[in-house]
Amino acid sequence: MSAVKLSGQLSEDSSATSSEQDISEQDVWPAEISLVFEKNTTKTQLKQARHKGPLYVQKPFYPEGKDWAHVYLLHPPGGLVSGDSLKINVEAKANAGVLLTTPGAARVYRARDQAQLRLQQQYQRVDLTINSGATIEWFPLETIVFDGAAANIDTTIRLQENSHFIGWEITCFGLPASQQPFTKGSFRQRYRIEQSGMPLFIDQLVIGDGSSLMLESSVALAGNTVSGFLIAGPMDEKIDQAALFDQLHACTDLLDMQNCAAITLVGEFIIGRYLGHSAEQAKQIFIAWWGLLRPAVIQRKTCLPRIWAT
Amino acid sequence: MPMSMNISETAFLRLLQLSSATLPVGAYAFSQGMETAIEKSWLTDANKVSEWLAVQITESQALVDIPLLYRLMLACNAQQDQSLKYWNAYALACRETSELRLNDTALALALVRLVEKLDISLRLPESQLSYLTVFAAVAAYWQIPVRQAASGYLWAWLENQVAAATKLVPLGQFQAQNILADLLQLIPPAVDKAEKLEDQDIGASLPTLAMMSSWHERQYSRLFRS
Repeated sequence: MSAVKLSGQLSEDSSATSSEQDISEQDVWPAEISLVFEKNTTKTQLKQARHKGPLYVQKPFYPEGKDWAHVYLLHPPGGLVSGDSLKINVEAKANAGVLLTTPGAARVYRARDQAQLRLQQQYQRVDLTINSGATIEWFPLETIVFDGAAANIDTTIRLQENSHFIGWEITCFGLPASQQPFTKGSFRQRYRIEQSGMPLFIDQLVIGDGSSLMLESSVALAGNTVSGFLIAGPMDEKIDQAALFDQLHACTDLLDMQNCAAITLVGEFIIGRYLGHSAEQAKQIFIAWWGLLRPAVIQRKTCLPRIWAT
Repeated sequence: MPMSMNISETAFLRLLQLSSATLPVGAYAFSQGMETAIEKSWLTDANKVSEWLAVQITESQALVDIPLLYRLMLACNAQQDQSLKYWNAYALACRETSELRLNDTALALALVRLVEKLDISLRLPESQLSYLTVFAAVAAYWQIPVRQAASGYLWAWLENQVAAATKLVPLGQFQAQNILADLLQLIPPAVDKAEKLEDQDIGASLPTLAMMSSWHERQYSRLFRS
């Protein structure tokens, strides 16, 4: 497989995706990967990698030193059809540092008509476990939800005391540039962060079957086709919050995104949001904010994964 | 029919007290992002305000506050402290912005202070509290049935939002009453929807509301605290 470029996802032609074709039982392709990272005195190592089906990782890269592993998660089919399920389990043991990203956009294709719910729906489940002193950064590229999809995307992040998480989620509804808007179908995205079993952040975006209410309502997506958030925390208590927010807002202003980007602090987590029409724009502001948040949360300068530059 | 459920006259009157706009918890100071939405000319008239609020009832309150209120009242009635603590944390975890959380915790503190003055002793978690938790504890203490408590909670929220819109858009008194008359009809089905929800389905996301509320934190001139 080849790495998909970061740019131009929204204008791509979807004709090659065969989403219109009928899918038979043997095309259903469950995939699962479980990764465990451990830190010895100096190095974060990929200690265990088990997979079933088409989900892989390459050997970790260490562009910012041995203590921080950059890992690319590969799903060669590149998208989910009816009946597919992807499961991604990552555990960072004590003090490990891991940045995970994907080389291309994820796609959730149009679901087939199917009486059996299990075979009609498309599932992706991400479980991240972050032990004491460890950090996971989870930056999947955008998810493109095709018209008529039946998507269930579930992300759970389990933190302990003194562990950190930075992540984002970017969702594109339809391919408006190719005149393929998202008008029907169902989408359910649950994102949950908990610490020692107690909920810290819950966000659940549900677009009901056959209803455009959430897509169109002035209080919900309001006709925007790209929605995303960046979340980072817990914040270092010693950080001057007012000064940090001045810098974050200055970033937004500099990129002229005052009308499509907003950032706030909820408890000990910073949540930046994007609501507009461009996944590129969303990534641009999230990467800019990340540049300020990474030092504030884990006292490290940012180091862009190389694959984002290709 | 919900009102066919038994509610004692005293409990009914307690519910009116608890969901009254004059309950001194300071709810009137919070517009929940509406001030920015109006400042940005996103909401310009009664119809737009009505839609803004209707979708919050059906797609957020019915999926977050009301199912949580049920669980919190259950925990209060059964004296399950751990469960109360969990669902209180859950409520706070669903608040999307700094100001929406402040709204929730400030009202909670004010209601705690009020009930102390009323010599009511409640079993509440030690942690930061959501208004929902304290509201649930008071409703349980006063033996208000959960279904009616849920309707009262939603009514109080709705009345407060319409009052904010009345000041901000501005709306006339009759327009405000029209919105209330229309939208209160959404309350019983919203409670029905909430009653059917499984634990793992509690949660919502209203992206534009979250954006407006975040922007409010930067708004230069503000009448409201959220």
